[in-house]
Amino acid sequence: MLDSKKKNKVKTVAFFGLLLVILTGLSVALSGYAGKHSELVKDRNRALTGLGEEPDHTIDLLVIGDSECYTTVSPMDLWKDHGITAYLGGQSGQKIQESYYMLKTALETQKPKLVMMETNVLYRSADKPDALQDILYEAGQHYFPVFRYHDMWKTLASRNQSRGDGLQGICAKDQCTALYRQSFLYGPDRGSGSGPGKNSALLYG
Amino acid sequence: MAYHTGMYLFLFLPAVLLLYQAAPARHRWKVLLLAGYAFFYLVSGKLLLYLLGTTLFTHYIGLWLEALQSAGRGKREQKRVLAFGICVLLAVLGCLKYYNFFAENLNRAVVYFGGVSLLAARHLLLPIGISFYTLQAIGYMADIYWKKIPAGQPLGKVALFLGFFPQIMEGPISMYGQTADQLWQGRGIRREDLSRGWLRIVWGLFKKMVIADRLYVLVQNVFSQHSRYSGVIVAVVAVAYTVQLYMEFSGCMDIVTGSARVFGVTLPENFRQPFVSRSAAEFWRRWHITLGVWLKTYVFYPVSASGLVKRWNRFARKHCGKYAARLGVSALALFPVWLCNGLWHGPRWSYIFYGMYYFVILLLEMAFEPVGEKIRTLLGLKADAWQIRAVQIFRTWLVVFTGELFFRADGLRAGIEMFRSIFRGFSLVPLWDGSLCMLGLDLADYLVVFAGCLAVGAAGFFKERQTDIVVRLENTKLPVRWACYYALILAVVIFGAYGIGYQKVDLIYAGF
Repeated sequence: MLDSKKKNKVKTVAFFGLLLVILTGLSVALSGYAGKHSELVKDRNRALTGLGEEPDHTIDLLVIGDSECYTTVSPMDLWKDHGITAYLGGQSGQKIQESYYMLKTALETQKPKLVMMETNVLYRSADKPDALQDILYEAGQHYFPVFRYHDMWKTLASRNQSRGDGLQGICAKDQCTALYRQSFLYGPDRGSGSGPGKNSALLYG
Repeated sequence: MAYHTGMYLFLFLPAVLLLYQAAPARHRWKVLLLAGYAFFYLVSGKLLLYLLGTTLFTHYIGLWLEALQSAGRGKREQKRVLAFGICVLLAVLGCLKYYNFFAENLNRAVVYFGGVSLLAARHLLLPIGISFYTLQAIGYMADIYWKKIPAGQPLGKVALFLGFFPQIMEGPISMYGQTADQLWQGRGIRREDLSRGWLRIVWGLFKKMVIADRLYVLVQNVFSQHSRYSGVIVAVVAVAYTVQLYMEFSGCMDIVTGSARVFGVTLPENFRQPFVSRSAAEFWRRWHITLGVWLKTYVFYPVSASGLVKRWNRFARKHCGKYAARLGVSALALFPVWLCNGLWHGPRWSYIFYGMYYFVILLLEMAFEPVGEKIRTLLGLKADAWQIRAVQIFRTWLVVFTGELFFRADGLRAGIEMFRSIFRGFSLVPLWDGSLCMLGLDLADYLVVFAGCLAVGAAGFFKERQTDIVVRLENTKLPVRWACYYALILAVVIFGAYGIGYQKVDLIYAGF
């Protein structure tokens, strides 16, 4: 017979173990569902979700970074003109933590010959507590995708589904503004400099 | 690092717990104190110096008062020292929090009378929780003066009382006698405290993330463009903001109380089912209780016992009768209480109006109490009849929702405009014609909010009937108990308003 102290320890371990099993189960189920129904996935998550759905070892070029990467690289043209299979893992205002987990997700199933990183992400500053919070948040979503897809029920319920892509990370939109008219892109004459140290630290591990 | 973030819940709190348990009992208070300062530094950086300065100063005033008491010096001298201590603390708070408000209004007045601006606006950084720890420090000094606290309190104990990390951001505002000994004891972590503490934390997360943060979108959309809305939409949003504020603040208090509980510390409760209150006075005995108790103890009672109020009481009883004397005394004692209440929330006219609003409402409640009694007698109803209770609760709701509308509005003028707009083209049709679903929330969101409120309401119902749900849950069979725990955790995970598509919502009271 176990004494009450040991019993309590076993119960605690069992409780958290079962919780992990539930969260993992939900994560597997929701990831699978999200992969098959990308129209239910929020725009920002779509590139990452689509990445997991690509057949293994089929991507030659992976592009990661913020909006400046997905507005300047066209996987369709690269394929059409050069026969290169490329995938855009860009997100608007992508944080370095997101870049890291985008790359990590890609390397789980792909062996890209080249990873192109749009470096604007390195120059974006964040407070230390915020950066730590983002690491926790992205790690949580990576290992338990239930946190990433937790509100797919809402998209389903409200039928507020946006267009699915299948366009190698490109999100098709009906209304676009010419980028240079918005005049927010950095010109080549802005000079150079090193980004915040913590971003580099994250990038190089 | 707010209390509902992953960094606090999964890194900071567990790390402090491990260090606390690993430390010998006599050193555990040091772990809590260092954790408090680390927390403060992570949020406010070098402004930690203000907390350290306040701690040293408060302790010094305490020693000074004790020295005067032990030397048998007169009350007048002690009163001067106490007044000096309070004035210095209020001056720091006033300079940091109210300087720009004062400068702006002084300049406006001078310019209005043809002069030129006298004071320039300054960029002043406000340490987190200054309004909370300043009140606790004043309470400590007053308690020493009243000899409620034994002499010879160690500096570390006072420092921990003012810098206990779960309380730093949003209170509750505790008195020295309520928490200092528990914090100082360094009691080991117990399984019961741990499980109840974590359960309370998850319950707080449910209120904050499922209900309050979801309502934030609706509230923000309408209040930020209030001129576009009128009628029932504004009324609905006033209700929505009240619910958001309650779920947010009480949810945060649950997280705070739960965090303290895991260390075996019981903090005073800040809420007690405020929406079953039958009057505004009762509402304030159930809403932000610790602020109300602080104001009652350190403002209301001293003012009530002052010579001015006593003289008025004698004069009014002699010349105007008991009824007028009671009203007059109440008005004199309540005015500073509600002025302080309004100002405490921040340097804005709308907050001062909010305080004065309740001052007038409470006086009206007192003034019309005999009339209400007469009507009830005429109708032949008992004081506790359900019809009477329903009317009184509904009336209190109206008072509270109106007050919160002014409280949230972007300035007093905006508040008045919004209040007036409720009566412009009032129609109930927007409730079902889909207008509410154009304000940032869809039907699914409203259903989640409604279900969440039902769950919180049911918990409040049992609590009001003195039934401790946690104890009842602990006595149920393990599968049922665990199913309930998992359901609560999964409700937060699945229905929480976090992640992509939702905004990070800062804790409202952390801004006060």
